[in-house]
Amino acid sequence: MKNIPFLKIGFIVSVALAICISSCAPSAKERETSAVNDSIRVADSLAMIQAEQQRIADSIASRTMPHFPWPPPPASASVKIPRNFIVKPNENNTLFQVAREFESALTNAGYVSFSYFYVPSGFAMVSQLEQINADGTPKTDPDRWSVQYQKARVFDLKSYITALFTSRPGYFRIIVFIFTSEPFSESGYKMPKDTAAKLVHAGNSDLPPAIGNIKFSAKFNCTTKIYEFEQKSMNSAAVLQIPSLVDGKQHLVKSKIWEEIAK
Amino acid sequence: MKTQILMRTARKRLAILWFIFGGFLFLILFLQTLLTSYYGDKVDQAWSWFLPTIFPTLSLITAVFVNDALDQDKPDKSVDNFFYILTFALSLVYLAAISLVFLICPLTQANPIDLMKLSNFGLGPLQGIIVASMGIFFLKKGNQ
Repeated sequence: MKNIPFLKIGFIVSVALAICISSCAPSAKERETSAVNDSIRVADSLAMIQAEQQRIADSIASRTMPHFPWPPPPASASVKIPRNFIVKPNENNTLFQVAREFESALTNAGYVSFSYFYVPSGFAMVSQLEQINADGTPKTDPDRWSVQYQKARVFDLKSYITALFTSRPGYFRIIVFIFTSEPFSESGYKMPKDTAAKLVHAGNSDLPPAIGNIKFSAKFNCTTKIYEFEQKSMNSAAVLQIPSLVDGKQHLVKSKIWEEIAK
Repeated sequence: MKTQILMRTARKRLAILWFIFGGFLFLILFLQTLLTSYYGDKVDQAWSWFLPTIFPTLSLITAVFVNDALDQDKPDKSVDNFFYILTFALSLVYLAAISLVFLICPLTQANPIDLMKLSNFGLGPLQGIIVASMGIFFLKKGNQ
């Protein structure tokens, strides 16, 4: 019986300790907040790692690929390719896969040459210089791929008289697809036709793995720049048309690239 | 067949040939220059090629006609028909060759200015012969 007070005291101390411990432990809300903060920290770390990876890839690509003039020269027309054209739902494509899709689309649309250039945080794909009609449709082969101005074909007396006294303007076009995660504007540099004609031969035949293995994340966009040149006659200089009479989307529709990308 | 031809008759026929062809070619080049930028930035080169091919001879013909008009009382002279036919044929070939430079352009993909420059290889010597034979009618004193 002598131990009863000690038991009571022990009981009270135990209860007090239990209350103290329970009051000091984090509540469910605090645990939740903590979990969210941990997740954010992990996500931030991952984003930093990805950003670092991209920066390293960018640095490698900038040394191994020819550079596209940056910011891009002012274009005759521009159009942003809808994301759902490039990446189908539930797909997690790399830039390699996106490049392959566009190569396939260009090939199916009749384009035989294209090359790759470095742009900050991405790449640019440049099509071969082609001759087009005023409405944006490509000329028929072999005129289409001639970099020289082609006179109108003469097939009857009327067309002969027209060709004798008038010169039909020639139109040239290159299409540049820019895939980048960085926003950009246009520079003041006006690209001459000769430079545009040589671009396709100056670029890489493929993407380096450092760029190709990057995921085509939501940050990436594809902007198409169309550079159209008008040459009034055989002895006139070709002049960059700004703006083009045909809008950017119509250029891609008339070249059949739009329907190929949309497939 | 006549072996002689009156100088004034020969001059008139040659003048008609040269003025008709010259006028036709001038009109083509004028319309090409005026209607569109057919020659682009090289209009001056087109005219620089054309004017010396025709105008020295046209100027000579005109000068002689003016001189003749002021001296109507002079008796007419005659010249060997062979020279007349030769000069007429040479003139026709020369003027047709110049016309061809213009008329062939729409049928080829060649640059008209390059064609003009190329034609100088043939037209230059031919022009020398033409000027010499034209001299018989527009410079030489014919037989009375």
